[in-house]
Amino acid sequence: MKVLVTGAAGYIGSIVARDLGQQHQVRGVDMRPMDGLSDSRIIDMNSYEDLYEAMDGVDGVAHLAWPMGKYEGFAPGENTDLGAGVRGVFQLLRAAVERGIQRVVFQSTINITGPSWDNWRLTEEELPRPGVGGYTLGKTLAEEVCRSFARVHPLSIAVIRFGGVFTLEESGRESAAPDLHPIPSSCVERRDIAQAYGLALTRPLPSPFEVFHIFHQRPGERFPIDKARKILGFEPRYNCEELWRRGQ
Amino acid sequence: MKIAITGAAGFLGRILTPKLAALHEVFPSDLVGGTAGMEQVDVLEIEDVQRLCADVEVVIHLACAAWRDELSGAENETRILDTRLKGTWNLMQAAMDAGVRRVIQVSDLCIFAGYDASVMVSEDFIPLPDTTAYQQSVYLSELIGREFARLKKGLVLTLRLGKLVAAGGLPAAAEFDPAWLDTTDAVEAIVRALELDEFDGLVNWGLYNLAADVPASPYSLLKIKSGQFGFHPRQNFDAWRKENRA
Repeated sequence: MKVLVTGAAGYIGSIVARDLGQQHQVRGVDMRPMDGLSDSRIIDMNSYEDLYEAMDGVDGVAHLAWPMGKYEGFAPGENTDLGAGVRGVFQLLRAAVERGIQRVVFQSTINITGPSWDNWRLTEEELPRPGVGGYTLGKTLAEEVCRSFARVHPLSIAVIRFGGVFTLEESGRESAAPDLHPIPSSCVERRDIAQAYGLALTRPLPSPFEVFHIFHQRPGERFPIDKARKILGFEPRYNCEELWRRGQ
Repeated sequence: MKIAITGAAGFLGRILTPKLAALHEVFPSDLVGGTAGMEQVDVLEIEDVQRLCADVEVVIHLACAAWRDELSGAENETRILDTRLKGTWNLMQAAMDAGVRRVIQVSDLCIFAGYDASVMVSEDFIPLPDTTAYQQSVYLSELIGREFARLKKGLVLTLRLGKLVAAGGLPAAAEFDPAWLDTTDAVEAIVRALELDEFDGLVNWGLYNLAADVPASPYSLLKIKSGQFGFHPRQNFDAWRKENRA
């Protein structure tokens, strides 16, 4: 399978592109240069033409690209949540439909359900309450764009929601955003995200639009991953409980 | 009442502005403004909308981008999405910061396109927009309104209108569409929306559907007719409806 990974220069995207490359042909796109990818292109997420060109010969899309900062020196076009973020998803899906692509995986965030975290056991059915902040509002709107495209067009879209992304491959990144994700139930290692992308790109989905929580496995977790385990066969390999114990 | 209007030079804005000006102090604005009585405001420029929102009680938000044939499809889609998404966000944020009492967000019933014609939809139905930039932009801008409505009770009233037609100038042979809404009724509903103190339902967000009140309409008007709004559209297009023509 030929997979387009957008945002392949990023903290998560670089690992998704690397790991998917073990089983698939990967083309990475980003506004910044990408290391270690034989097929990579620098594109502007604001450009429909760039996105359409990048999908030449592609079977599935892992869409991680999102405007996360200013990217000094690598800033073609404008980069805002509602612009390159939400409009970027619209243009990406339009191009995917044009190209006859069957599967897109969109990277969302668990933060869009933030105000409901005072409840325990939020499933994927929880309706987002993103507030008016650009990132969470943009991701919520982009999920809605995905939902519409999957309803209207012959492609299926898996949305994955996660947060607290840590890595055991680089020292100093073992705990991501402890202010937002202070408890070890809401974390996930980068390589498990890559695993989830591989599954979400290839496994049959019960309906054309499905949302999955992707986290490490813990009993009594706040964001249960039962759905991803059952439908995608996701089994997280890394657990940050040990790190958490060490930090006590 | 001091009322600012965005998109005041558009189809509905041109009809609404003089009617409102007879009742209130209005500050019409448009992207193609700069003439007497029409301030030039680009909703994509935060300073522009901050200036517009300063010292007004209500903002009526009509601004949206029209399709321009001289631009490419992708360029048009960019303008349409950006104007509704970033433009609406800018406007709501500026209105909240300036202490504006109400933003009336004029929306479009077209986002129920995904329902079978036999289904009667109400405000409780989830919109099923198609994947054109237009319908997506309308639907997503409503969700922006919903999030701002959570922050300040009464701030956002989203009024979804049917297909606007001016009954006065409508050819007798025009084929009736149950989504029609006479522009006079649309203007009257907006005038009424200015006065509303409370919204119906369990939410802070005022959300109302309005089309012509005709038999077998695909849109339930129960909420706007019977609730706080208490609004009854007058033009029911009797002369154009098939059952009256037989």
